[in-house]
This record gives sequence, C-alpha cells and structure tokens, in this order.
Amino acid sequence: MTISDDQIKNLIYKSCRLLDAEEFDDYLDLYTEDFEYKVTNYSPEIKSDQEWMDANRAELKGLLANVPLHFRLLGSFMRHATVYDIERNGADTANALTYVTIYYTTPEGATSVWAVGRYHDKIDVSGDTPLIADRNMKLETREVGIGTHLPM
Amino acid sequence: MSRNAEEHLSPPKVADGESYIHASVYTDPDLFAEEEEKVLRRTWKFVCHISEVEKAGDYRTHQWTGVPLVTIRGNDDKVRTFVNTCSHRGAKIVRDVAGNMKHMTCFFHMWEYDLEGNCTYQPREEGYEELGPTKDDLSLREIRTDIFAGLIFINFDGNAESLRDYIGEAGEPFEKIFNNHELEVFHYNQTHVKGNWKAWYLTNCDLYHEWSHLVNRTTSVLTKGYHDRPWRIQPNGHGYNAHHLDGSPFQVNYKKYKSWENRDHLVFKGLAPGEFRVTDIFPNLSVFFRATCIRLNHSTPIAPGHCIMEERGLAIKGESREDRRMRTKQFVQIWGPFSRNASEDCAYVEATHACQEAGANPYDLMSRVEKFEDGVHERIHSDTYLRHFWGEWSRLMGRPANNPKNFMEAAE
Repeated sequence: MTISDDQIKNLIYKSCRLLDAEEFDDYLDLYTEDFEYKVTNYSPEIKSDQEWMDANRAELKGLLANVPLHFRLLGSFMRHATVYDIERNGADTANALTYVTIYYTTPEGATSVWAVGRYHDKIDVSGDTPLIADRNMKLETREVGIGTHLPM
Repeated sequence: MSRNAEEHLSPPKVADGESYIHASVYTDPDLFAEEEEKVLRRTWKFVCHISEVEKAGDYRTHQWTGVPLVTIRGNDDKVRTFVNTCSHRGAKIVRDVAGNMKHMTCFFHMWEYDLEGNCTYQPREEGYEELGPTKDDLSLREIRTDIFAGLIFINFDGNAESLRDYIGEAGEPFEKIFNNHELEVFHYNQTHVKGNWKAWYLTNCDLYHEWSHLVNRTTSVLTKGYHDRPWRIQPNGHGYNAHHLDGSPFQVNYKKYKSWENRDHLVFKGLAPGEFRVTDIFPNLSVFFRATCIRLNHSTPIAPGHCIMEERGLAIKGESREDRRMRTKQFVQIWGPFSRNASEDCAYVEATHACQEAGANPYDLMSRVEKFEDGVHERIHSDTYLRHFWGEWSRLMGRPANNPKNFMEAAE
C-alpha cells in the first residue's frame, strides 16, 4: 500500500499535537526505532551551523521520562505547523519540509511567539503507516528566553 | 511563627554582618550606574575566545556598560578593541556580530578606518583643510585588550594591573589545559534574562543550588566525595573549586542520570576522566570543565533587572566528526537553551529578581559555613565565594553590600 501525502501530513501534525499535550510515549511511537532527532540553527556569532539538541530513541526517551522530575518552565506550548513540501525518495522514504510556529502561554494566560523554525523530516513510508526516521528542527529563532527541556 | 513587617525588614540575625546583602544591590538604578563606573569599567572583562578572531580582519562586536565595541585582529596579528563609533557623527561602524573585513567603513559618510584604528579615508578630504581636524586626530578610541589562555579580555581602565596579574593563581585550574589544546568555539547561545547580572553570575558560584538540578543531584550531590572539595579563594574577587582537599580530582558519575552513560572518554589533556572543575573570575566569567565539555559563561549588564547571558562551548580543533558530535551532544544535554541545567538556572534568576524588585525579600543570605575537620577550609556548599565576591564588590564600590545606601540609618 502506498503511503499518501495526506498520511505524511497527518503524521507531522500529530507529532505537534502529542508534544503540545506532553503525551510522550505516543509521541515516540511516531518515530522509527533508530531515528535521530536534532534541534539546529545557524549562529552568525561563530559563523557556523550548530546543534542545540541531538538525541536518539534511548536518549529522548530518557529525557522525556525525566521531564516531570525537573524544575522547568511553567505554562504550555502550542505548535502551529504547515507542511510546505513532500518529496519522494524512491518507494521507501520521503522528505518533508514543514514550517512551524511555536506559541508559549504563561500560567497566567499570556501568549507570545516562542520560536519559529522548519522541520526537515525524513519519513519512512515502507510500512503500512508512515514513521519519522529523522527530524531536524532548524530554528530561525535563536533567543528562546529561559529555554526548555522539551524537543520542539 | 511567621514574621511581622518590622521583623521582615530587619537585617537577618546572623553572627557576621558580612554574611548577607541588601537586595537593592540587584535592583537599584543608582547603584547600577555607579557599579558601571566603579566595578565594570575598572576590572578585566571577558569578550570572546581567540578562535573567534583567528585571522587578520576577523572581528566580533559586543558592548560593555552600554558602549558599542568591536574586537578585531589586525594585520600585525595583534587583537585590539575599539569603541565602535565613527569619529565623525558617532554612527556605529561595524554592525554585524561577527565577520571579516579589510577595513572598517562607516555606512553614513563612508569614512574608513584600518584594522589598527587609524582613520585612512574621508570622501573629499580637502573639505577639512581650512578648519581641521586632520585624519590623524580622528583615529578610533582603543580599549585595553589582552589575552589569557586564549580568552580575550578588555579593560576600560588604562591604569589597571596587567591581565595576568589580575587573574593570578585563579587561572591555575584551566590555563594549562587550555594551552594543551588548540580550542575553538563550537556552541554559542545568548539569552536576555530578566534578572541582575550579578545574580546570574552568582548562581554559577552558589553550588548549594545544585540540589535543585536533577542532573547534579543524581550524578553529584548524592555521591561519595562530592562535599570533600574546598573553595579556593583568590585575590581580586576570584575563586575556584577543583580538587578534593587531598588533591584528587572530583569525577562525576553521569551514569546515575537515566539514559546517560559515564563520560570517561574524550578527556582533555590534564584532566581526569569525568572530572568537574569551575573557576569564577570576577566580575562575571565562569569557566567550567564537565568531563568532555568546556563552557565559558558570562553576562552583559543592560539594566538592574536585565542582562544578556552568553554561553560558549569549546572543543578541540580538528577532532573527528564522531568525537565532535559526541562532545556536542553531551554539552547540550547540560548547557544551552534545550539543556537540563542552563534553562533551570535562568528560571532561578528570574524568579528571585521578580521578588527582589517588588521588595518582597529585602535581604539575601550567604551565611552557610560547612568546614572541613581542619577548621580552616570550607566545603563547596559553604557561601565562601559569595562572601568573597561581595567583599570585593563592596571594596570597589566603597559601599557595604549589606547596607549600600544606608537604608537602616534612613529608617531611623
């Protein structure tokens, strides 16, 4: 069965919804076993690309399991995503480009834009359902306030 | 029993009057302005690492006490810092944060300066022949700049002691290790923090707060030997903690944090596997070693309740892609905007500043003393360094940090 573009879009949108809801186990189920997750950006200060998060399944699972034990930013995130492009690489994989805006809402209810960036996803389309094989959240925003423990 | 208003506003009941500060040192605009003159412009301030200005013409812009600056490597290989404004109308000359240039050109009237700060070109220069001044009178203002172990510092005070003398033996925990390798910056981030610059710096120096970080609590604080390290206090407001009292290194057990492995690889020459050290250079630079990672952390004061925190990660130039990836991965697990620790530190500073600014907490305690059996050395959860910092701040300001504006006398 061929995975459709709509199935790929739904996968990406679901990844945003599950992270917003902090349903981490279900979120990880959207990825392949050997996925790589990165948050990257270009730093004009050091004239170089750089990585602000780099995790495989075991590392991301460990991080997300520990999140409730950490002292962290209160409030919530909401990710607004639009898939701009899906490109097939043969029968088994596809690349997807998604523009993402992340809103942050304080515990008092004030909302602001927290960051903007692009998901560069490699999607495994070889099975019955699509899975994210690699995600690079390439941030345009480099000033993210006090930061976060969470993937974006 | 809770305290009433009078009790709450009274100085803490401690045996030593120098073991608390008045919160106005973090919030008062007059003290902030005075501090710029008496502390920040008279001490050596970290700018960046030499790898950021590696070749002739490489530059890095920044600011200190509100003054725009550019640090640039000249054709003679010397690193200089100039006030980044044109001698003509005062426009900012170099506007990018970093880059490389053959000369500095002001965008407003196209005046040019060479990398040594000389004014070298003015369009239709003859227009100044009658009244002057000449180009020789219009070079850029140079700020004293020096390098220690690859770290570039500036000092507005031309009469201050040399950088080497200023740092003194506080450089011992990192100088040799930095010089053992050719290092480069691989990680950079900056964050506007709603808090005072001193509060940011002192959060790094207050190791008692490690209880709050899950990473530190599990991998360090609860492990054997953690508390057996003394604060080493140094002149000019510096200090460090590195070895145990018996001279052995403190090695962190990273495996205690779920999903992490021990970090006994990628060891910097001169360190033990997994070793932790931190050196605090007054007024605001902290140099960390954490096993595979080196972090330089400092802040730029903007206002009493606003500073810009900067983090740099250093790695060995030319190391393999695999090694760099592992080092980067482990760095950003602890520091950086998506890390466990740095974001937590930001939250601590912002939370305390909000209360201090509202006058909700008039005093800040620093009366912890945990001594070794020798009765002399103080363990790392003592507030030893905090008292030392504020002693130096008080000396430079000519005001006691526990009563900087004679609040108590005014109340009477």
